[in-house]
Amino acid sequence: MSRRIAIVEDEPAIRENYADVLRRQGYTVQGYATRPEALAAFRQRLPDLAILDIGLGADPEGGFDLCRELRALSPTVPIIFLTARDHDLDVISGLRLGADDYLTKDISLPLLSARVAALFRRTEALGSTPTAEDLLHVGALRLDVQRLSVHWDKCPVELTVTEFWIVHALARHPGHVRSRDQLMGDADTVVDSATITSHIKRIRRKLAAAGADPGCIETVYGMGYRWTATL
Amino acid sequence: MTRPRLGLRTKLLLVALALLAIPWVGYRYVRAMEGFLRQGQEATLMGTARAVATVLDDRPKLMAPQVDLLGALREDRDLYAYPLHNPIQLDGYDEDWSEYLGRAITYGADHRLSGTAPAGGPDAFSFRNLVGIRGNYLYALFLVKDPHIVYRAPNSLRLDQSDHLIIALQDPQGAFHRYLLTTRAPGWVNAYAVTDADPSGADAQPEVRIQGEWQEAPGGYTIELRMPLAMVGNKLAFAIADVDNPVTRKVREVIGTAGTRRLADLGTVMTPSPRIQAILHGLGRANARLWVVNRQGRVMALTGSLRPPDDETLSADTGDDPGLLSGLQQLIYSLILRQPSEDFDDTLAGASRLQGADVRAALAGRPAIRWRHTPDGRAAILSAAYPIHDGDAVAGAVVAEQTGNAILTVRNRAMESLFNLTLVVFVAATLALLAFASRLSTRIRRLRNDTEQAIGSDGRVRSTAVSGRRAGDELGDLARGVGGMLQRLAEYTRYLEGMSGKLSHELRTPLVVVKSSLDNLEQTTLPEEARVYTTRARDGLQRLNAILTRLSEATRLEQALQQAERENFDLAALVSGCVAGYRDAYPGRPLEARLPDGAVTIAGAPDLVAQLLDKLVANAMDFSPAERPVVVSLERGTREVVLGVENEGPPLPEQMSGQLFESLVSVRSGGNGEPHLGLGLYIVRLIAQFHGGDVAAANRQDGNGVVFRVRLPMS
Repeated sequence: MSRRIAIVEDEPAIRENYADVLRRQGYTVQGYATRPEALAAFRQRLPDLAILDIGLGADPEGGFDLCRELRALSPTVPIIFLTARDHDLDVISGLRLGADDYLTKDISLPLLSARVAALFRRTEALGSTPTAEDLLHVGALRLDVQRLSVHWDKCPVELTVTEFWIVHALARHPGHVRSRDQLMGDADTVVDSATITSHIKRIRRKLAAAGADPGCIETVYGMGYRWTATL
Repeated sequence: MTRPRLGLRTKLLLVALALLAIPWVGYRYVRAMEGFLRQGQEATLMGTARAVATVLDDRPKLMAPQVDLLGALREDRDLYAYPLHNPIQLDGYDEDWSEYLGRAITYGADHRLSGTAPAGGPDAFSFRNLVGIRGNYLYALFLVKDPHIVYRAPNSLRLDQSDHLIIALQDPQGAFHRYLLTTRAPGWVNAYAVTDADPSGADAQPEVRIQGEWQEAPGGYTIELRMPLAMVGNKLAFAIADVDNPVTRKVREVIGTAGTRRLADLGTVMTPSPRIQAILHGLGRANARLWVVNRQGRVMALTGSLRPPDDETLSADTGDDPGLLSGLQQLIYSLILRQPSEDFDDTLAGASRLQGADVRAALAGRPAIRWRHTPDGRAAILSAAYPIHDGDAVAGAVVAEQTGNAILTVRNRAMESLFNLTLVVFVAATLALLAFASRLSTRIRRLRNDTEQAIGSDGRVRSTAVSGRRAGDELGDLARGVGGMLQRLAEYTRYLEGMSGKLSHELRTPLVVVKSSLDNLEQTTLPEEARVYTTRARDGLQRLNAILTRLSEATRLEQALQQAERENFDLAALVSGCVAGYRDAYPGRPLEARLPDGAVTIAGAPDLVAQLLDKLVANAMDFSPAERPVVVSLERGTREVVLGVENEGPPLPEQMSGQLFESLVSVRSGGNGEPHLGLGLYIVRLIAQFHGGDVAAANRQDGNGVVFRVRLPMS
């Protein structure tokens, strides 16, 4: 049985374009234009993954409300925000409400498909045992590529998919500087460098919360960031 | 042309000068009042004169006896007996007469009755004469100038062979009498009655009623004598005979007031009439003087004085010691205003004859008024003359005199109070105007400052708060108007600033439609020639996307600035790291860094500073010739650090230098494919301002390049 994806997007052309791509990948796609319509459908049956726009017609914050309601219905269903709004505040609010990823509409459709696939892979991998090649150990940091999960000294660190790939790209080559553009490529996301900066800030905060030194990701001004080799 | 700048305060004070009209009007008023008072005083005085004249009208006996109806009056021939105030001691000295000495009449060569001029010249022999009345006596004083005094020979009976005085008079009964008076030595003397039969007086009988004292004086001698008034009628003459040769004892010269030989030759003597005096006394008024004159202007009676009684003068002078302020005030008044003075020189007092224009007019039958100043100019005297009628003829005149001091006092008092009042009003009005003008100009100045500061140098509305908006007057309206204007301007600016962000956001959705459609299109099987067009569409899409990203960059940065956290970091390390990065980013371009030793710590957001440097270096690289170096420098001052980025290349256009850091301003001339919206330097400025610094662009000294300098305060 194919996986069911719900797209909540008020712009029909975009909704259909996204739906076509995902259908081509073999997913069953349901499109909704408004929050009440989507919520009613979610109450009937939960989707396997939800892609939400923030502004829904006359409801500029409708996506956030919907995310909160969906998270109340199911704590595990993957939620991706796909929106034209790329302000830091929107990103932070979206992720705080329990979304798994926050993508801007600049993202190309192939990349979107890759994200969706990655999220499904993580959901699947939650039950299975990780293989050695999927694991990356750098000091106290442990990355599981299959599950997209991160641990610091066995303490789990909740990262979004974007954040995960940034950490992965840095930690794979400790001491090597990755530029912002490279990081954007690694994370399969197209945002401007200032967004990368805020991503890095959030990662540092999350790692620090898990007990790591926030200096483990070092800023190399004018160039980019690197994983501090000594840690 | 520069016009002198006049502030509101100055202008209002100039307008306040119109207040000076108040004292002028007041002055005119006081002068008018003074005129009325003068008229009143004139009328009153004239009334007095007329009343007295009415009393004396048609009383020929009172006025007539002494009136000489024949011939004109002559001062020297027709003697006037002054009423003497002081007792006269017959001692041969003139001290008792000092009050009247100025009126003594001098008799010299012009009054020679017989004989020849003296050897020492015509002036060598002369005498001065005064006649007065006190009690029932007529007094006479002779001051004789005679270098050779010849006394009566001790053994001689003759009276006319020495210096002697001749007295000729008509008694009240009309009989003619002649007396000689001489002496053997200075001392007490008596007269001798002589007759035509015995002119030498050898047999003369002494007339003891005429007695006096003969004393020598420097350059001559003095005779002081008296005789009972009962002896004297209307006619009288005196003569002095001079004998110079003690051997021959011939009379050399005789000088007299009038001829003494015959009754017809005698002059008259005028004595004030006691009856008129008594009448006048009853009519006398305080501070006024009343004269009665006969047809010749001779004074027949006088009463009163121009000066107030002594006690009144005293009371005017006494008073509490004035304070410094009022003392100063009085000093000023005494300088400006003529003060009434009781200490004036009244030459007329005791005059024997009045000859003013008013008196002449009255004697001609017309009442007249005259104002005159005393010779010393200290007082003005008003005199009113009114004729005394005897039937149709004019028998004399009454002259009433009064000083203008009362009016002057009133006038001065009015002037003083006017001056005080004006001063108070003037000062009060000036102060009020000054306060009002100050308040007004302060409010306007505050409004101007607020208006000037409301819009910053970058053209943004910094504050719409304008002081004085609650005021209800026109200035309040102005402040409200300016406030409203600023409010609308701020809204419009905000709208314009949000425009690019909003625009990019709104454009993004159709862009996504195009993009996702293209993505879908590429996944379908397309003919090869169609691929070319999708590729072109994708290129165009990318450029559109880049434009939108840059458009929203500034807006996003402004939001980022609001959330940015400050930390202390080493600027030198940041710059050196960035420069290393630029060497990688711009391979083959020379890049020079001049950094100080040691750390340069500033407080701020390192990411933002790096972004600032990115923009400046990218800008410099764009303008610099490829082979010439871009110089990044860091200079540490005492309180601030200057980050400089310098490149060779075309200088800045003059008119652009101020706007270079504004949004959407670009000096780039040609497009090289990369879109430029002129937001880079605007972002630089935003970041510099966030750190409390500023940025400036200047042409290099050699004119062959541009330097951007960012000043940041050190922590």
